[in-house]
Amino acid sequence: MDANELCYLSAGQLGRLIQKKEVSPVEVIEAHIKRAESLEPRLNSFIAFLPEKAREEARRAEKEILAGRSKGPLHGIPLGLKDLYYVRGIPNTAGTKIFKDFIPDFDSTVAARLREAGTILLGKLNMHPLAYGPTGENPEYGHMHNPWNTECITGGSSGGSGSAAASGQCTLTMGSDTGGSIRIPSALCGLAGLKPTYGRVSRYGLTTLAWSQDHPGPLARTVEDCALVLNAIAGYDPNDPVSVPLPVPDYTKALLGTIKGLRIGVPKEYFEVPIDGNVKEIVWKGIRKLEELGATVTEVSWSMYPHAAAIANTIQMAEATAYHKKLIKERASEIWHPVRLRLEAGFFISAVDYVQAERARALFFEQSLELMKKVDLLAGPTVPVTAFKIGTNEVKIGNRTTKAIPLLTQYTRPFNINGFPAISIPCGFSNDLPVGLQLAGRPFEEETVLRAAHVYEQATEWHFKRPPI
Amino acid sequence: MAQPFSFSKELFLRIAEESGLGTDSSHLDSLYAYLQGVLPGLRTIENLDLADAEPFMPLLMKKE
Repeated sequence: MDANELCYLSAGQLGRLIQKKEVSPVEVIEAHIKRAESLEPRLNSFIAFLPEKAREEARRAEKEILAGRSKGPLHGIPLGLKDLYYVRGIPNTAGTKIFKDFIPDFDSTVAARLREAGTILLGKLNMHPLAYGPTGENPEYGHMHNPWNTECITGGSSGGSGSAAASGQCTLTMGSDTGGSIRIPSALCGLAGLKPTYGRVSRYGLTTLAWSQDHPGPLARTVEDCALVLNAIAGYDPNDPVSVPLPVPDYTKALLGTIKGLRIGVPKEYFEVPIDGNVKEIVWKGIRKLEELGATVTEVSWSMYPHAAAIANTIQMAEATAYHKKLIKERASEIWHPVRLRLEAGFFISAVDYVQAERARALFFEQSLELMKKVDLLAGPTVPVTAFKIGTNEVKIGNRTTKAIPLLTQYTRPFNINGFPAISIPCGFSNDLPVGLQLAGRPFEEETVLRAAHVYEQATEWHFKRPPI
Repeated sequence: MAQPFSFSKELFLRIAEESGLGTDSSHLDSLYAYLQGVLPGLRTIENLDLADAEPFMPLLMKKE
């Protein structure tokens, strides 16, 4: 098989070929190394590229599979981890050179579980510094570039994860999502990106941004791949105090069902905030497609939705500043200025502000649960615009100019404060740039989210499209 | 209704000093300008009736 074709097979497809011994992990890894080496100068997806280590692991995987010791469907699959997942012996920068010499002496739970599942680590991926921003810009390690248009942002903060998966440099990537940092790059790069329920996947061994809103999760080119990753990483971890001891289903089985009778709600408030006209039309077409496929679609009201950003920001600012307090005191001048401002701003959130935001969050959570008694899923846009040029601070929508950063997170943040699972899947293109459809479900009902996303994906062809790179 | 947002430079400088944010006046000016843009949006929480609400506790979300 042509090397570039190998790079665009999904993990599900590749895994089946590897298990049948029709393709070797060595061949797969070589193809991905070659592709990454050719694309990296234009995309800047990696902070640490590890070809020799990957080759060694691929040779080991090949031997194990030939000897009948397969580790399962992800054995031999190329993986990239956002550079905030601790991997023993490999620097963990969290996107800033301040931490270039920090080498963890243990694995994050997610990295350990993905290794046990047989994935092969190709490298640590570029990210918005300290994960504190949604664009994927990083002057220290170089801005991440969108494979669909390299002048444009990838979205962030997991921007390297988005560009590496969308460009076929990695079959699977992992991101983390505090305000949309998995779903935003997934939408802007044309990927499936899943933020599982808070507590479903361990945060142990990840650099923190905001404890109560950080969610680890996958970015991949298909929904099946997100399910395969979730099978490997979900489940109780005593090292994470908010990890939930619930049984883990086989998420790939959830993909087999239909969505006949599934109740989908579209919050009317989603369309009372700024949104590009083309994106709105494309997302509605996606929602109508779900209706054609058997779901019932109704408009719902989510009256607290307009407060989500204030609640999320207040809590995030206080938590991020608390976590990085020592760094701010000792090395503030080395932090990229926009991130430094965000971090220092947290000192101006009072204890009362923080508690009031947590009280508001409790109301938001209760209202979200009430809403989800009437419907099984919420659907809407992931991001109200397509990727814009790197360096953009304001975006024009119609006659109105809007600040770029709050715009990017306006649909994703609500699910960081209620912790509900949410996925972004590609649902079309505007001016040759991908548009994302977001589906969110009840806590710990990732199966419903994945099933609806998979049914939609299989009925459309967006996931087959490849960026012109 | 929330009170109109006001955040004096004097109060800003006091908190900045207590927080150890340094004395670089051009940086402090840019931080003050940033806060003037961000903090008013956060004050919308004051419009909510929080009388019966306790702070959110994610640990209680679901444990069976």
